[in-house]
Amino acid sequence: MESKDDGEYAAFEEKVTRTVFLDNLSPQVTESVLKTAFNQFGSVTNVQFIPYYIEPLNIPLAALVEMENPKQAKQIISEMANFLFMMSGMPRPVRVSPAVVEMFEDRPRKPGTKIESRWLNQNDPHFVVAKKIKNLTRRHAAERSFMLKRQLEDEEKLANQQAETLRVNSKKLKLINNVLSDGTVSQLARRYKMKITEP
Amino acid sequence: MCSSVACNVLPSSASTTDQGYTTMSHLMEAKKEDDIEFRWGCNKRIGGPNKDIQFFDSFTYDGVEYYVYDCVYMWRGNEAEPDIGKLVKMWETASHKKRVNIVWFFRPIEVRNWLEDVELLENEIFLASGEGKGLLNHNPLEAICGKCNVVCISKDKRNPLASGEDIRMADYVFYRTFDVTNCRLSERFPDRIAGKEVENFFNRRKYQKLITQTEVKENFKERAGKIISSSKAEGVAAATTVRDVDPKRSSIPEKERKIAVASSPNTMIRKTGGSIEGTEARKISCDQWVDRGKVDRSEDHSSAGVSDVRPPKKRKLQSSPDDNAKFPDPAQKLPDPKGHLLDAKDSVFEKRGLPKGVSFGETTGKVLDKRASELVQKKSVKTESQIVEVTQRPATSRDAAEFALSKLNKICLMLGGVRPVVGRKGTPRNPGKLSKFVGHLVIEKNRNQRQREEVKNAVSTSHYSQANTIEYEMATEWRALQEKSNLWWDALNEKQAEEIITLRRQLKIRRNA
Repeated sequence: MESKDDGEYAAFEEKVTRTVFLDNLSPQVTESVLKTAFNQFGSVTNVQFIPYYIEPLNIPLAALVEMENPKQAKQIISEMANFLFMMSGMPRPVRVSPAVVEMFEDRPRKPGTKIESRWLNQNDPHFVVAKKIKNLTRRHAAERSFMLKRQLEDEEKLANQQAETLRVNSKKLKLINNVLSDGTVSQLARRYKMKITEP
Repeated sequence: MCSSVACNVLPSSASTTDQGYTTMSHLMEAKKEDDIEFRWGCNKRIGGPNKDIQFFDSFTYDGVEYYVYDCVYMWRGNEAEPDIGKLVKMWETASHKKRVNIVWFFRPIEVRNWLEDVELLENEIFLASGEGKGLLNHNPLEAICGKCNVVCISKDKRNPLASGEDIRMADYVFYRTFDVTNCRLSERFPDRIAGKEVENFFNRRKYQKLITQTEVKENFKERAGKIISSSKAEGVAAATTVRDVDPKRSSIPEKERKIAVASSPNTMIRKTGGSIEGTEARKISCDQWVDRGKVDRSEDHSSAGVSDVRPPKKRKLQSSPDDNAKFPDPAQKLPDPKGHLLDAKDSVFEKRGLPKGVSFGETTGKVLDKRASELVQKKSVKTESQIVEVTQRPATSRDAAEFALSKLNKICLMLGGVRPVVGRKGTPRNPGKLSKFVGHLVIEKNRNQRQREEVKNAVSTSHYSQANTIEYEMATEWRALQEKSNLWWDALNEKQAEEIITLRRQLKIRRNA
């Protein structure tokens, strides 16, 4: 029994080393999109999205992509850390990192560990401290949710700024195109006796 | 102010024929107010200091007939859940204000501060007793928003035993009183509550549910109902059961309506909904709180989810047959109580042993599984003799969640000796996908055919960004932001972990000491 658990856990740990964690994913990214994208670098054996339980906010998706072997996973992680990889949209790149054990919802129990649980009553000596920890945990949760909110705001700000830049650029592009297409350029060229060479 | 003798004796009305009864109420129709249908039932007597108050034994409000000692849901201000109470008196004042006297039931959650380690049934409530604040109130009649099926399962000799079927159909059960004088829970029932014989608060004698279609000729309404009276004397109120089958509503099983009420339109804290289907169904079923003046009930409402606005008093649950069609049969969906609570667990509990955790701890989940099932097992063992399958309805799963939460809050569930479990209500997840993603830009229109083609391709495939593009430049900005966010999360994690560890040390020191 023990050795069976061991074996199961070892297999799981091996799986972790083969897995890439991705976030900053657009909601448009689906399992098949991920598979197509990552099959360029190796072969994908499994894809799993990580559900987000805590906040009702619409935040980017995160996923675990399991590759055929640890080497492929490593390769992908180092490449994507150095280059900017786009999925289902741009210019916000996806972010990758090696997967860690805690990311897997279905992870098996670590052999040799056993979590005990018990109810503490009000008169238990530990009750006060436990209560404090609970309160602290709640405060931490609030802090995190505040931080997340700020981050989302920052992201939105950046996105808006970039959208503006893009708008201006495309306007300029349109202007140039128009100048070329409506004959203004050739008129000017004639006026100043210059030659236009077709690109 | 009102005499307390007034309400007890009903036989006079019970012996009235349907015909007589309707004509009488027909006369009363002149008093109808608003758009909401209202009629007083049997006029009983006139009282009050100036003889200007009329007491009644029953009334019809929005198609439902209420009798004295019926249990009802009441809206109080902006509360998320309706209160439950028993009608003990109803009257009309000289200025034609309609009032009711209500003796309250308490939900366990409302009096949790006074409940030590009390074992609770899933849908248990407590009858108020004693004297003082919280026992009873005068309320405007319009605050009533529906009947509530409450069954007494006390073994008190004075209480007619309820059948298993009754209990299964019940929205709530009670067998204990909560004394508002000294805030104590008791299984004993005093002889009088709020000046009424306690028998009135127990189940009705010869409790039967007969629905006989009796055609009553009336101008605009067809009502099927029957008044059953038992001739049990002793000054005990005659057991009177009136089932009112409104033709418009008859397509909706009463049970479902009640479930919808009980699950209550609370968007911000949707707790249960273990399975997505469950949540959806609930969303559909409890969505419509519509001003009843405006909407024809039999029409198909747009089922636009749950409105965020808390329903004010005068609104009432509306269920359209269409909505109910989508509502899954509760009994089929949820095969056993245990599985049921476990389902609810998914969304209720949240592991926060160490805030660093990204996902839910498997171990925690399992322990909770076990714990939750233990909770249920313990309960069902204790109550098996009295109750059969009380936990089978969605309406109660909400209470189950509530119960588990309050237990988690009140005392501590420790994991591995150092990690207390923190419970929180689940948040509704948006099943619909977002079409827009912050940080992904689209060029609105581009007349240049060739370029548009390129953009299209660029969007639809995954690729590495090329260094000579504007995309690359912008992506770099994003990468910078991502790195920054990594830094601040790391800093926060570190700080929080430190705080937790400091506290945990105290725990260990105490243990060693």
